[in-house]
Amino acid sequence: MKQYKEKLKLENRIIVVCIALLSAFIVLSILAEAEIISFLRPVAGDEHWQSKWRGFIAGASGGVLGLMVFGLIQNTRALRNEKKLKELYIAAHDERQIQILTTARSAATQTFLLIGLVAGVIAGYFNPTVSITILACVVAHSLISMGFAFYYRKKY
Amino acid sequence: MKTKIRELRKLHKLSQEELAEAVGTTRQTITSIEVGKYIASLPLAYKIARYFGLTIEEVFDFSDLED
Repeated sequence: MKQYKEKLKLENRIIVVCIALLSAFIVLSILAEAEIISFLRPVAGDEHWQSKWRGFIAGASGGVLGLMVFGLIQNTRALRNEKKLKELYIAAHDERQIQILTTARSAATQTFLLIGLVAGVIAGYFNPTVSITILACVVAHSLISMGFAFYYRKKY
Repeated sequence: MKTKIRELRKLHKLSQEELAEAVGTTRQTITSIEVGKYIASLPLAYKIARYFGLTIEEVFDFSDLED
């Protein structure tokens, strides 16, 4: 449990740095939007696309920031309360939960590759850029999976 | 895989939650092991058996694997 406490403390430090960086990014984006600074404004696409992109960035940043704050609060509460620490430890290390997540990710990967391959082939009949992008994603995903498989074969 | 966990729990008047906490897992995992939907890892099987003061073979039924 002592090791886990140290891990949570390290995790909290990393989260705090990430929150600071993300907050700075959000502030800079707002300043860019108000045309106080010139960078961080989308330069590609028309006004409609830029507006959509800004909305996406604002939503994603806010969501990630919220998750990080939640994680920070959860970790801090666990560090101050032994019962909560044990609960968090069990939730994070429960072997059935780990197996469920591993199996789900593996199934999702296989499904993604299959759908991606079919979508890439179909898109090739209509739009080369979309097709190449999808197929490049499928190939990159496959190569990364193979790389990890090779690493874990060596490890175990 | 069949187990005697449910019987042992009843014998020791233990809830799933209490057993789960004692062996460092969740109540859902204990439920899944009891109904045979999930096979416990060796370390967890060891912890459960040791908690009841028994061997793994006395708690878990390995007869399915002997074919």
